[in-house]
Amino acid sequence: MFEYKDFLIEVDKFPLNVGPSHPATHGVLRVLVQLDGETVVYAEPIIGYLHTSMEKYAEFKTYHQAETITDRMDYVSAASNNLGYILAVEKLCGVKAPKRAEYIRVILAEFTRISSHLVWLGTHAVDIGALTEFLYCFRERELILDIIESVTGARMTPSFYRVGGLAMDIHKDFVDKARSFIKIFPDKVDEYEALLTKNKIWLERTKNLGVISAEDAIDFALTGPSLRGSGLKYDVRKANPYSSYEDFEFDIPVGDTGDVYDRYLVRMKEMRQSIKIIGQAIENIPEGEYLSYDEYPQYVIPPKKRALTTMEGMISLFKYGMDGIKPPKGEAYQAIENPRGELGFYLVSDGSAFPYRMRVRPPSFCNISALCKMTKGHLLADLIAIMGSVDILLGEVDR
Amino acid sequence: MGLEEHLGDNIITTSLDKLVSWGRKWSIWPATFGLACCAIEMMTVASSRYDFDRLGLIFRSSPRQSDLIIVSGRVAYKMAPMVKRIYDQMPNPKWVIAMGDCACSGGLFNVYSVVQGVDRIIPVDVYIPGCPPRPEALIYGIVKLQEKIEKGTIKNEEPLKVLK
Amino acid sequence: MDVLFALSVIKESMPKLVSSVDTSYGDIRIFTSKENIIDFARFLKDDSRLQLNMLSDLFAVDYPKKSERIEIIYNFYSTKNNFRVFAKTKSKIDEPNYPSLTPLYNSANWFEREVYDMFGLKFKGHPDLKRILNPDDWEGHPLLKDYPLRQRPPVEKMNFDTPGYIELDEITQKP
Repeated sequence: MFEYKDFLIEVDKFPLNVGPSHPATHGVLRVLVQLDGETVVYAEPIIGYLHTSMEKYAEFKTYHQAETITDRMDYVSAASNNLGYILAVEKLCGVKAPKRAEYIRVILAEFTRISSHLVWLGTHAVDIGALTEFLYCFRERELILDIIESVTGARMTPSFYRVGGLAMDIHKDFVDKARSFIKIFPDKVDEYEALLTKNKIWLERTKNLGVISAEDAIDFALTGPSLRGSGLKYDVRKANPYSSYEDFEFDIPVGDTGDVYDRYLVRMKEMRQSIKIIGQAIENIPEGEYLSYDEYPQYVIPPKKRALTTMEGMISLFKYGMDGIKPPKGEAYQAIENPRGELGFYLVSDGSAFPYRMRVRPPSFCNISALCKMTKGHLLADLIAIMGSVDILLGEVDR
Repeated sequence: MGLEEHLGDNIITTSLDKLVSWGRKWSIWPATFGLACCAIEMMTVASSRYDFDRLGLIFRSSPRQSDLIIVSGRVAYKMAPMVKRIYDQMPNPKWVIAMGDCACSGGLFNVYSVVQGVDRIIPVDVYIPGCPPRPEALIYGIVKLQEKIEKGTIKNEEPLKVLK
Repeated sequence: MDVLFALSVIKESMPKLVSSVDTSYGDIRIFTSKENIIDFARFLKDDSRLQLNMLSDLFAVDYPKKSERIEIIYNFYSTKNNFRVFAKTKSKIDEPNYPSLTPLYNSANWFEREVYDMFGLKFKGHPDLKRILNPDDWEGHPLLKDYPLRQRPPVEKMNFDTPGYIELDEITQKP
């Protein structure tokens, strides 16, 4: 028989398990929470439930095959991940893509930034209780996916970049679609903001929550909107421009207190800036080759038309497919600004066709490690809001 | 046939099997359970353009209230016990959809940390290939599952049992 | 500020800690020894000319043919001066006294846990060194070169009764 004391629990140190399958963990994150009443005393994220051993797997793939793995790492902004990886390989080989390819890369990367922020906004709002936002966000996200699909052939996992350029050239339809999207999207952002930015419930649920100071954010190596929400103006696109980002004019939005609301505002403003970048890029796409095959024939795939019509192109394509590319011995690091922060690829080459080591500097991994600091002293319900505002993606945390 | 002629349009006769299957077919409640890339496509299907709800699918946050689990993504060894546990927690009758190559067979990731197909842990009814499958593919998979449910019978069914 | 300026500052002030320098591909990689890494990191963080206040990344590379097979690479970044310095050390896998950078940088905590999980290198002074990505009872350290890519435990032998809860003592010890 049970006695009365068996049903008593210690209220001041009550352990609670959030996840790994929880509707608000954005995947398979498990957070171990110790509660005092309803206040979080200690929250420890436990990760690894989606561990896919990508860093190991890349060692068994050729340089181009490994690009498809980076797709599945940050699956909401795959084109951005591809860009980081391909730029790292290009750095290793000493290849520079033509200006036209760089502009198209920027367009795709910025489109995925918007689509990633839309997924974040939709799910974050659902977690806090605003379901309508989700339907709005995914409506526009579909348009972006249509644009990406029309040029790369895949909705979520494009793998469209090649060393020294792109897999193929863009077509007029893509430009038209992108233009019409740029026209409508700023109004849509207004629509999202109309629902949330001055909404009293939203303010109550997000203001002064999960505050992290700039010093702490740097200490935990936070990057991206989570760092900029704390007021630090660090964006790789401005700090170390890559892929012709220096050609475009855009601002880096920053917050000041570093709470959930600031991180929300930063991302909303970032979407507007991305549209601005796409607008500039699409109007100024330079004419010319989309692959720098002529400059670096030993590293770059021949354009399809030349591969199928000329003899040396055919041989080159064949060699490329059979042997892969062989960058010289060395190590290179390339960082880019992913929607979640600084995504870095550190590649070690031993001169063979396979990367000796591919290290990913994962932004979400660092961002979620600060969760313990952010949630201390807040209510359990606010844990969900804070977790959402960090915008993690478990595929990239666990790799 | 015979009976309906006398009673008119107001009455239909059917077997209990058909009635129950018809009811189940249009009220499949999937558990909110996402793993990886396919989970984003699953969310897309639930959103405005594709709209899951018109097929009677409404996401439930608790496995104890749901009768379908869509395994959307790669199942890591660390996650496998939880997938099994969620499946066990669901009341009968229950169905499983393996969405995407990784859940079907391991797919791209033939590596040390990924279970090579979720069917090694739990029985699967519908496999949807693709990496990730398009939303249309998932809807087609749901329709196939509905066809399967339609043919089902309650004759040998176990009584409702919820595992702890 | 220039990266090469950072290099000259480091070489000037800390000549003993720098064993060699590699400046290929536009980055600077400074080889130092594992005994000196804490002093080196503290210098990088505190020096007013450098202010490398962020430990952006920490990872390892395995070279099985060398006697000290694990190469640990630190990626320091300065948000104030916008430059990046890589520091490299070498170690054996079973090195008992490999120093941890957790007293200096909070971000080192998870990175070191990952290196421990993937390579088996034990950091001395780490507050909570346990596996991070793989399950706690996993055998071997997967990113070592001699770990087979497809070495999987059989599913039939898996323990499906892993508790979904955690014992109270386990978490009350922590801050």
